[in-house]
Amino acid sequence: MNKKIKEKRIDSAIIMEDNRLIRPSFLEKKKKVKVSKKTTNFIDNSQVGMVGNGIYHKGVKYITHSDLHHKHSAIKTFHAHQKVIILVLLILVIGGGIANLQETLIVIIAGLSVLYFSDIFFNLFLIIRSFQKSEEVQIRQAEIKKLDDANLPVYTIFCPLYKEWQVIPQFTRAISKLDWPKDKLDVQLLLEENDPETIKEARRMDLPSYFRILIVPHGHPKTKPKACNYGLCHAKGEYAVIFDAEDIPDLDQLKKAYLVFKKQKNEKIICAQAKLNFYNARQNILTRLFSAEYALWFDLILTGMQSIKSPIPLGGTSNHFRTKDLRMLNGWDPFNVTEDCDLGIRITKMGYHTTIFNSNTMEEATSKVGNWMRQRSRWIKGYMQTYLVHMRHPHEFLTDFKNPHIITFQLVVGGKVLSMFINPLMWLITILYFSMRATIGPLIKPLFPDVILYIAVFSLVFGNFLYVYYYMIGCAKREQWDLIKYVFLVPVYWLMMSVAAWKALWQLIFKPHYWEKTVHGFHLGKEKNI
Amino acid sequence: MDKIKQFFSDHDILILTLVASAFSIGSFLYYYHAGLITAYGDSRGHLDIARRVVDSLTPGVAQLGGYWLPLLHILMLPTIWNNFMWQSGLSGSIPSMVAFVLTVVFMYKLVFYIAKDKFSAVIAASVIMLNANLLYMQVVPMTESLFVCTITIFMYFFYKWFQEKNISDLILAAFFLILSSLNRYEGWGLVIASSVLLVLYWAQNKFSKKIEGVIIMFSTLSFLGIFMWLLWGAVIFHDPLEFMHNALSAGNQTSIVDANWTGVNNIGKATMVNVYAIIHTSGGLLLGLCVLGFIIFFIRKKKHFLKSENLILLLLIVPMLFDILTVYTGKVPIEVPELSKISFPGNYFNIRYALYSLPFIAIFSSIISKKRIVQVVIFSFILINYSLLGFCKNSNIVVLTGAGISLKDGREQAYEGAVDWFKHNYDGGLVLASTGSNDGLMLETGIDQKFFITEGTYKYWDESLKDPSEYATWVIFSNNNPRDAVNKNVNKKTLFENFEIVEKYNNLLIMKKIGTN
Repeated sequence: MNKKIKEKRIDSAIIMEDNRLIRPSFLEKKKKVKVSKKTTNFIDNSQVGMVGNGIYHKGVKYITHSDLHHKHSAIKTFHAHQKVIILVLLILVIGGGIANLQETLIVIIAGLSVLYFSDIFFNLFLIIRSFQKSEEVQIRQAEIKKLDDANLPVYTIFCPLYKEWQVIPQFTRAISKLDWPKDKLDVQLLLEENDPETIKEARRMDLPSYFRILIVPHGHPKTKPKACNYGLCHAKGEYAVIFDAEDIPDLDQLKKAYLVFKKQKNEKIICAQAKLNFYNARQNILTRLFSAEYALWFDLILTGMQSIKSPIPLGGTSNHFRTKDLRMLNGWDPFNVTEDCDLGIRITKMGYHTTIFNSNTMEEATSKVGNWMRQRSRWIKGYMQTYLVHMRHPHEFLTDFKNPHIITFQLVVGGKVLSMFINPLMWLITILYFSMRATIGPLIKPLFPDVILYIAVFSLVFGNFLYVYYYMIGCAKREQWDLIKYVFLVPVYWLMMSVAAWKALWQLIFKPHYWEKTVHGFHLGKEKNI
Repeated sequence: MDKIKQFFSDHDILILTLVASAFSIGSFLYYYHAGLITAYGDSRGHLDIARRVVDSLTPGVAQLGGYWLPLLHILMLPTIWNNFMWQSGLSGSIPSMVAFVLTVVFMYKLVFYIAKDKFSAVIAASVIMLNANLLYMQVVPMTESLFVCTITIFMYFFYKWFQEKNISDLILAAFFLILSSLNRYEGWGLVIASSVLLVLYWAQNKFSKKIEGVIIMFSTLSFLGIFMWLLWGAVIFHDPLEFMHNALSAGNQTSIVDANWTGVNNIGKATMVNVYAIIHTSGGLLLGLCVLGFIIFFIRKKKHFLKSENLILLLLIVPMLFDILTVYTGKVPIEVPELSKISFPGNYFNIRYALYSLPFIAIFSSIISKKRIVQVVIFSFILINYSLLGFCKNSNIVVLTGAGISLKDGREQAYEGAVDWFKHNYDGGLVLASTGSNDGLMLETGIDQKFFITEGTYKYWDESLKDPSEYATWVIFSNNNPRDAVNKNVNKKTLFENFEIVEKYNNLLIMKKIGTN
């Protein structure tokens, strides 16, 4: 029965004929290594740079390829004092409920209503700002034409891939069309060691010479940020950017990003974020709504946030850095499932800024509800992780009193997540009140004293209207006029977000570092929609 | 000289704002000292509605009511709690005055945008600023000044959107339409007409996706005011059309007062009533200039006149068309001496509505020519026109004459003595009275609104009509006034069993609960 399996070597790993991938190290007997029980960072002195570095946590060695201090990592979901705060709040709510249920509910509803109310006006403020004072950096074609290719530096492109080899040809085409001298491109396909199929297919493809395959050693956590950290350790470029495998960036995006950095007199700007949208926006209703949401986020909210120098949660791709800055930031947190959001906040807390510039990257909008739910619940979980990580030491936000980042952070990250939980609750109360006014009405009415009632009603009626309208403005600003009529369906989309939020909360508690993979490539073969 | 010119050119908006403010404040001081700020019966009603939101037996936003649109009342809320601001009318004058200044400024900006000529813009701003009737209406707590303001600003942004296609202009245009529609029902006509114009524009652009999106975006916002008002009626009064069915609605009141209004079921007369009203409020010479300007505009655009970009300015005539329709259907009458056959409430009744055409007149009378000599002649004509209208003679300001007439009607004569008597003899307790006919008395006595049982006080009102002695110590009503809801609905048997008449002014009875002296 000892059937000999054919094998071939790829880098340091061995791919078996049945596609199992075995690394020689796996075959070795595990040596007993003394691992610290305390959470602490470690450095692998046998490797260059940050390669092999990581964190010991609860007696487990996690290789993150980063020197990010564990205090700034989501490796621990809740810190001790956060657990105490949550416990105290729970005790207060339960105790208050037992002592006086009505008063307790009034306080909770008042708090939620005020938060919701503030969020409405904060978003309105951001949108007005985005119209009044667009701080989006504009790079003109004339400036691009003036660039001499000979003087351009090497640009590294990170492309983390996991079980999605089908989109590699599309990515290769997109990158090969980029307006940047090819001899100055360092494109890294970051493949996972335990993904032999992608490795095999990537090897089989006739990749351009400026592409290289880097295989991220197997180990936990298995996340995109960890792969990117590995890539960062091997980056050759003076500048670096992340693109997802399904991305199609504007042809001149690298040059624009380069000019953004060159033009900035302010050395504090260390990240340039291109705007994201979808090439398959019209594939189905879900992609249309998703696209409207992105238009609102990238074309209005983010530019508004930039105008007030607020912390900007980065988009997952198309964020450009000087490589040295990225190393100074210690790369990404591999335990945070929205490492982009976390990095954006970290940039602001460290006194630096992100800028949005006039370039787009087109992505694939997930077109299946289940896939969307996985992606969205991961994003929301990541936002929760980010909130918890950065609220461990809230005073770190208070370095600049002119820009109260602590408040904008609450609204942008905390409030955004919380509103997903509040929304269905408020709707339910309203529906119950009007549909069962005779029976449930008298129970609900005392929970809304006059002032709270006005705030809640305003939030419900104008708030919901305004949010719907914001989506329309987003579509209009992006000239996606045909999507505007679909915006009336956005309340259904919000409901889906709320479902995803509950799933995210459950995962945050039980599987905090689990990376729910978004499957890409559903648009392939449906080019007529693109 | 050049430096002075340059200074005026660079600071034109600031200078215009200061001049318009001076006119506004000067006018206010004049009418305040003349005691005419709350001369209009309706102005007292507006003040009391806003006051009841914060000062009522049952305070709250529901007191905004269901027949008069709420914008003015909402704008009064920050100051109406103060007794002086309420009783002097200043609480409502402030938003009206700010609106007046904004109208002047935006009219200037609009005409400058259209004509690209500052002198034309100055002419247009002057047409607004020098109109004596508007100068009076902008100091009173009523909706006219606000409406003229919101439609002017709407037109500025809407016109700009047609030229530049900036989304922010489209949104602002729709936003000011919301304000119009939450201020005057004429605004509803404008909301519908502007959406229709966009549909026409869509058709003229081969039903492009872009214009389709624009229509949805614009209409979603501009119809919000109308939708909210219908929703308000449905939630608060269980009737989305409460504003039509309310006993105090204009339609119901006109049917009570007189069925022989001028222009009812006669479209020609209904139109002429409005034309005469314009002549009385803005002057015949100015109307002539406007007609001339319109003809010249038509000739200039002859080939493309029907293009939406050119038709847009005609939207400003929609409020007048709306008023022709309401006169024709008998919902809201306007009376002018040339056509009126009735004596009560008299000539010039509701003539102030003609001021809604003022922005239209200002635009077309100012864009006749860019030749300086012609512009000087036009400007001189405007000055002559307004001098003939008599902006400095009280007796010739027709909108004030309208208010004066209402002062002389039966109710007002009753108030003159009743207010004084009640002020001195009120010794506490709740007062049952109808807002529809006693708003002036409630305002002028200075007694807190929380002591009045009125239509918006829910169970207090309902139960007091059945048995006034349940809560009230006082009952005030006009025993021959069909608009007086107490007179109409109270259980007279229990009223006269438990209350005695303590004072009587014409038909106004002041009654007090027996045994409370």
